[in-house]
Amino acid sequence: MTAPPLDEADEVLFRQIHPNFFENSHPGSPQFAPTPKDEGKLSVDRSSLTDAAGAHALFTGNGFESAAVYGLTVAEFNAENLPCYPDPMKAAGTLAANPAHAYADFATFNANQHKKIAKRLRNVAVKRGRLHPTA
Amino acid sequence: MSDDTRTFQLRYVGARFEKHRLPLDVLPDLSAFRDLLVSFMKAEWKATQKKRVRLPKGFEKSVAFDLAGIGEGSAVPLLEWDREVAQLLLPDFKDELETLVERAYSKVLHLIDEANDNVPATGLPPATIRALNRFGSGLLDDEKIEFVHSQGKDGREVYLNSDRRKSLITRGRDSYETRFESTGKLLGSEKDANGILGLIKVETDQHGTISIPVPPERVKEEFDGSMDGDVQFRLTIELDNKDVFKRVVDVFDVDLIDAAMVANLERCRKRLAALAELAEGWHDGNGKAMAPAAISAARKLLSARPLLAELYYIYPTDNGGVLFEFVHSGWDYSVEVTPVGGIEIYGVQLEGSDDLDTMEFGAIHEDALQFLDSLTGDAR
Repeated sequence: MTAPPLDEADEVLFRQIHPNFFENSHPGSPQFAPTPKDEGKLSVDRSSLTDAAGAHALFTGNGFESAAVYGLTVAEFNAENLPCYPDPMKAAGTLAANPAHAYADFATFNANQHKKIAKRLRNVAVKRGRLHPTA
Repeated sequence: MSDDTRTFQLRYVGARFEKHRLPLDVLPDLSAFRDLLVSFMKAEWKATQKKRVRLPKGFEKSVAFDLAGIGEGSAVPLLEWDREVAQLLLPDFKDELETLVERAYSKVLHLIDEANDNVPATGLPPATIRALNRFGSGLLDDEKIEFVHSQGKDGREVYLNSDRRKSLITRGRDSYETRFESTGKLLGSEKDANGILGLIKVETDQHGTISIPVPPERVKEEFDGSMDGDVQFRLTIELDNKDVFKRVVDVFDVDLIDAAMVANLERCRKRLAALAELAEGWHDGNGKAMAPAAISAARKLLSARPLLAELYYIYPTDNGGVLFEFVHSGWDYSVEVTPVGGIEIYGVQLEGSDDLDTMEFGAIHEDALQFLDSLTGDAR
């Protein structure tokens, strides 16, 4: 059963930016939409349970690449009609547990809509600024 | 086409020729093709007419071609030879002329088809070399001319490209002419052989320092005082058979260009080159390697609208495409190049809720560029 959506409107949700989507310190919008393998779920980490540096350390420690961490609030996702759900992950194989894991649910939108939503999310996140590493 | 005409179709293949457009600077090819054909006709005539060494009066004029139109698809000029006119000029050679044209055309096709074979280096007649030096001299590296309805040794249509031209021409002489379009750095001006300040010296990556003829008043008014400026040029140049520069033969364009734009283009080109190197799985195990068609289309986009280069952020897409993102006039636009070179343009308003639904185009064609221009203004 799916947990109820996150309801702390001001809670910031962290999003990792792969180095190939970070040109001249600017994140590309594809990083703010799920890829086909994500089944409509955009992975984020909850600021109520970790901070940007911690989220980055856990992500890269699990073998993934991240050049920067950006963030949007639950309310900002909701403004795009994207409910966010907690989704803590247990340790699996070589991957460490991530109790702060959550996702924004894009399931009701098609691929073309994903792209435009991703641009708006990216622009909101850029306005907030890079959360890790900070200048 | 009436029964009294024989039509030759040359298909120009390359980005410049898409949507059956034929740039004016390749028009000299058409008369060069005719001259090539005539050079073989003359040789054929002399071979078959053992007693008559001289050509009959009107022989040259009898092979006059008209440009009857541009065919569908790529640019396909239709060249018509009017037999009626030919027979008026050479009434005694009614059938012979037709046979000569067909034989000459077969020989032209054969010559071009076996251009890259290791055949003995027998020189071609000077008239043939002269015609070849003009025919196809405007072709860029990724362009070719296909002879429609012909069949080469490989079963496909015979074609002429830069490599084949070079092979053919340098069999008979030690140099050949080719198109050279690029940018370089202005080193200064100098006097020509007549003592007139009518040359500019430009440093190029491909051929070192070259001297380009420019009208003296342009040297004084535009180029003097712009030392180290960036120069964009379109030339025909002569190279030796080892591709060493010999001289500038013809100048189509030469202009000082904005250094910032060059720098922005260079940044974008380097970014594309880096993306082209991404290996399969580049995105944490996912992410397809960039498709060559996507990289090629992305480069075309850059070249087609260079003024947008300063705005671009360029990213890979997981399916092997390329994404250009940029902000213009309060909108955040994306031009997404698909793995097969298709184009999708969409966007969102920065301060507002409007958006631009995805517009899809098959390639970087004029329709895609016109749509882009409608969003950004002309960025050529």
